[in-house]
Amino acid sequence: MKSTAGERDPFAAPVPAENNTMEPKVQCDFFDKKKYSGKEIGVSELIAKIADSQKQLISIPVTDIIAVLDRFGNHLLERHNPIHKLYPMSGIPFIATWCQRQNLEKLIQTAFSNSDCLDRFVDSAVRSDRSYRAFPRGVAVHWMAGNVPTLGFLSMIMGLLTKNGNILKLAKGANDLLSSLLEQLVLTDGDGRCGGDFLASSLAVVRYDHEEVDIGSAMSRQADIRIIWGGDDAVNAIKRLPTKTDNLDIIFPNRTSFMIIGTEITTPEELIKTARRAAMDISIFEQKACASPHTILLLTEKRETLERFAQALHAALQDALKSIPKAIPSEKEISALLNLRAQYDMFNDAWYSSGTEFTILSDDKLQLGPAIGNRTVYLRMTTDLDRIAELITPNVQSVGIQVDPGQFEYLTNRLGEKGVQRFTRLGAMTHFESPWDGYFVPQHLVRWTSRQKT
Amino acid sequence: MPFPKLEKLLEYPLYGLDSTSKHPVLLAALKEVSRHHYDHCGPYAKLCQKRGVDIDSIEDLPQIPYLPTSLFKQHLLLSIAEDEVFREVQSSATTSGMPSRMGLDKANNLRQNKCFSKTIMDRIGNKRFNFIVLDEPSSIGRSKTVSARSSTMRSLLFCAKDAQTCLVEDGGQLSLDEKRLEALLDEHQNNSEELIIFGFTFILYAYVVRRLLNAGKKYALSGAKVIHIGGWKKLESQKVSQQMLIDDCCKCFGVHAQDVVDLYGFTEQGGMIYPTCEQGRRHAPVWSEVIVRDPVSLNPLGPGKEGLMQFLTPIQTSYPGHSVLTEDIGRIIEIDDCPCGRKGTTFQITGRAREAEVRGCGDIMADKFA
Repeated sequence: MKSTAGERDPFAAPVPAENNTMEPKVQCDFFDKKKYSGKEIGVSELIAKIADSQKQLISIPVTDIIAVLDRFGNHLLERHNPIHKLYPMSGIPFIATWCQRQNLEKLIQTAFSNSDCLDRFVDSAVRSDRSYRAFPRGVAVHWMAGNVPTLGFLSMIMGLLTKNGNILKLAKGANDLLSSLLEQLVLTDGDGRCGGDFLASSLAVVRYDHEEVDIGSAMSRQADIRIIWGGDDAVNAIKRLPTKTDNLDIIFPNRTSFMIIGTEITTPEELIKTARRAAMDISIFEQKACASPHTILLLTEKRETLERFAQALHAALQDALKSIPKAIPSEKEISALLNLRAQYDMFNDAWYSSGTEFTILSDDKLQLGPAIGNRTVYLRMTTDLDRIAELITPNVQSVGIQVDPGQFEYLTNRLGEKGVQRFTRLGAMTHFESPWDGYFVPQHLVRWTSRQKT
Repeated sequence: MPFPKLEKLLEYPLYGLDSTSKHPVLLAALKEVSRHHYDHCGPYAKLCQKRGVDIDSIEDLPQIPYLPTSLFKQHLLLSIAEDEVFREVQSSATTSGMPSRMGLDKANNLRQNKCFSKTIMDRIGNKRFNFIVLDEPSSIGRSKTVSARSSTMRSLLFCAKDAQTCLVEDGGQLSLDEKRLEALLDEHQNNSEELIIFGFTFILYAYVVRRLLNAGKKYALSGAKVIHIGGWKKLESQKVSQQMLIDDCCKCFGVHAQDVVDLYGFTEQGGMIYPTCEQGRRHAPVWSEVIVRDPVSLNPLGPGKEGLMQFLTPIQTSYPGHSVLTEDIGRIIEIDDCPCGRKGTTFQITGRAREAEVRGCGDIMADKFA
């Protein structure tokens, strides 16, 4: 059957990008190892270039990639590195430490047991006749949430370790921190042909407005992996975009987190230490991370215990301002804070800084949050562990927990069953680790090939 | 409930005291009223206790605790018995869907009206005017329920000898009756000194002034006054500055720049109105003061620095609205030194809190415009 003139044969080969006048263009912050401001490039051309570079990555041993990232992390940590002044309070020391060898090796080891599987076929410990290799899936597009762009960088590095090409999409109004980081990666030395510039050739940072659906569709249609960070609306909007049939989605929706603190704290020193750890978790990222706690549940019935802890936390949050300076909230956020303070002063209890730096609220409710942000935490009390379990919804991610061993065993099992994805000690809640949101992420970024043992 | 210090304060000339003379009498009246709220409004007393505020030990205006205006959306706070509430005032329901609620007793209501009238008369003169109201007829008619928008429109009519409207409403959408407006304007060309054109800022500019100017129509209404209220959010988004509005009003109506008056006030402190003076500044009268607070430290800021606006006035006695922090951003221009001759702190509102909801009747009304 002949196709009618003007109609497109659905079985015909795709039209090359250069011939397609409707090809949408996307603004690139970083592409082809260079940082740009306002450069536009066709989406297909971008993806083709990243895919080409990605193919070169496959033969590079993962240990070489880790070595370059380790150097990059160390360089970032240098005090005189101008990036610290350019992007204060952007979590750069955290990114730097996360990129160090020890962390990356642990990350890969946790996901794959034997990291050699990323470089070659390795024999199975279970089946004597088979060997396995983890190949990259291709090009991963990371859609970033506006709240913590830092996580986008970590997401990209996991894509790189698994030898995928990576395109990171930022919101239109995001700053250019990520492309500045990649600019520094380019300058990082490596061994042999694998240097920072080589790795960076498979990475790109782009931005477009969420209303530019044609760009989103074109990127989505050509992605092998879609990694989506954000709120329900943003995630659903991206999920609705067209995809390859065998595309894989990894979704990190908005989550909330909280703390459970037992009352076996017997000495004033222990109280101060516990409050300090809690204050760190509350202060980092201004509570914009999924793992930031917005509620502390104290396992007590005594009001005076709660008040004593509130005072210790007040002092600890004040201290934390020295090491984690306060990001300036918007006027809207300030109004919300002042409203809450007045309400809680009138009808409940509140402890707060003289300015808008931090706020502790206490009432008789037993619930999580709501999340206010800007170092605002609800301090509530209960001794009923089962009632805590009833509070767990699928969007609870992390629980910072400091309780006695019996309570620990009970709560981690009961709350884990209800959906909590992560328990941590106090002070470590926002440390990005694997598994995250229930995923050993690197495991999902590869496809497995098996062969018979020779 | 007698408030001798407040009553004495209200006897002073509106803008006659410099800050050195004004602050002691204002502080005394505010302490008197704060004590009343402390004794009669439990939640307010609890807030003061929590913040370690001893009313009698307050030595300066910034020490008086403030309530955020948004608090009045969540709680009806009263310093009188419920059965003494003569009128409950509600702000325009905003995007949050929750209006502020304030309970007034007769004395508070009367005081608010007196203060409002005195302020307006100081600015426009103590006589009666012909009003062209930029709204539809029911907004100034008699009805059992009074919307916030209608209440604003009616607020100036105490000095009206006649009021005509020039908008029409059809299916919830407002539109300008151009022929009627033009007829009304033509009618007043010869006795324009007694004319006031009054409406919401956005409607005045976008649907009246711009439309007439675009149609090449200009009037000679020298001596008439153009008074507008309701916020700048929508006009700012269209890059219209205050000066542009004044210039275009002058071009369109032939009025003097000093006769274009922009009113600022908010429902949580009824009775308080801050018109722009002939120099385009707003003045705190003897019975109020404005403090600009740093958004992070919350400390008071000096002239020229932008921050959150706190307004204090002792005229609110039936509810603790005597010291409120608004979501408006602004700055103090200077103190006691306005070329217009009025004393007191002069200030400028520069915007709404970023990310704050659209607020005010003017903004809501603009949404309704066809």
